Amino acid sequence: MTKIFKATIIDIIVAFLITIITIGGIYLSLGQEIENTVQLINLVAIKKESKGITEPIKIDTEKKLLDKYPAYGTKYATIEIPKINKTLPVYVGDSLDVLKNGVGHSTSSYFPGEGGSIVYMGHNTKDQFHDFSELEIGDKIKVTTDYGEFNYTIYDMQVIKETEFDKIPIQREEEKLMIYTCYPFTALGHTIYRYVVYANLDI
Amino acid sequence: MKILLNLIKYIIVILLTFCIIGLLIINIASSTILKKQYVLNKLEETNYYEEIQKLIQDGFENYIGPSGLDESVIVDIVSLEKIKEDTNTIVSNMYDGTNTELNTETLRTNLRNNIDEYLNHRKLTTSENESIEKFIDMIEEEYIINILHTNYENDIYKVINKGNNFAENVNLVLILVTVASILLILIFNVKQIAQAIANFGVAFTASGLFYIVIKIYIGIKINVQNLSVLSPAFSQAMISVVQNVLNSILTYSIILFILGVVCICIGNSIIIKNEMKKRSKKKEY
Repeated sequence: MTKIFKATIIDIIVAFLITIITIGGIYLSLGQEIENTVQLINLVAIKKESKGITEPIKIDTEKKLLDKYPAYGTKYATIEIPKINKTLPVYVGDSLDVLKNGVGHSTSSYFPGEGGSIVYMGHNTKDQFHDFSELEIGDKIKVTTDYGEFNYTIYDMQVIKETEFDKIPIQREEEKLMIYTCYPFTALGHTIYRYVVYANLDI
Repeated sequence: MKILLNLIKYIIVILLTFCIIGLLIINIASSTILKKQYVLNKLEETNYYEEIQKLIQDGFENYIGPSGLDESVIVDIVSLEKIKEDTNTIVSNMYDGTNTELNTETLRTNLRNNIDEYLNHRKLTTSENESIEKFIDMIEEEYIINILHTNYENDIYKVINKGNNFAENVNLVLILVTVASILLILIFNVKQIAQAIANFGVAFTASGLFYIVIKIYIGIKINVQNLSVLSPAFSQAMISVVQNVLNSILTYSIILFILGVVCICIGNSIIIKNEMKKRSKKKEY
């Protein structure tokens, strides 16, 4: 019995050695490619767990820069337009999914307090910007973020085409808030026009 | 001479191990991810079509806001059966190389009818008609994007076709080499078949162990449960496929390991018993 047991153990050890040699051979010849593939899969195809509560954003008022930026699709501010009695959440991003929830912030523009162009957009529905036509020059807009409150005064309104991006210029010289929505407000289907409200930061 | 013969025997055992490893993975791949019907079954099992239907409807809702139309216009414009049919068309394009385009006429007609009804069949201006046609185009595009998810159907077909051809050719070669290895092991151990059984046992045990290690490695390195590809519905289907493949690998590897150990035990016990018989006969003389 002992001899059978010994012989069996020796053969199992040989099997282990063959396995180690096979795995070793694969690792030596393809190890780097395997590691790269695993890293790529983890980077591209594996959902990351959200970290939950994040630290509040801080703004350097001298440099006019945020220390970190909110993630795409997250709510970071509230916009109030007292003239049309609207208080709406503002989300980072301008995809249709984001706009379903509230006002979108174009990620190609600056954030309130950074001293540049800020571009917001929203639907012309009754719960959003349907009453934009009632806005006049001199009306106030307040944007309340996690890092401060910013007040703006409307100085212009324009109807532009959806492709006229030069009418919504991105610059860093002075802080301007530009909010647009689809036009006409009672359009059916798809419209190529946008109604833009321009506002300057109150100093 | 004996050492050389033993060395050759072990090389053949190692070759047999490689063949078993290769045969297992090729046959698992051929019967799962490379097989169209398997993928279609998985989509059905994971309620993919129902999830895609919800995704499509959510996508349509994004366009209602700026359209000035009521949500009722996008209700029931595409049925679950149509979604299944179109998804199966895409899968066929990927697996069979057919280049069938999706037919969205029913969707367009249903949407147009719903809009007409909502607007009480009133006469529209030319620009209103144009805007509504554009809206219908956008809804159609949203549907195609959500069903299709990729512009690389043809490329995927090439990869799957290559995979199937490779599997077929390599499978044949591996079967031939396996048979040759088994015959050589039997020839080398013609005087003691029990030794051949023990050698087969070593090959089975080694290949079983190899796949157990692979399964553990994948389990540690990749969080399969959190796989996210294209859409949540597609991800769920992919998670199911990957888990099924990994479970198959684990099952076969455990079977091989146990079978290997059993063969080693049987082989060695017959060898030792025969040796003891020979010795006791010698003592008698």
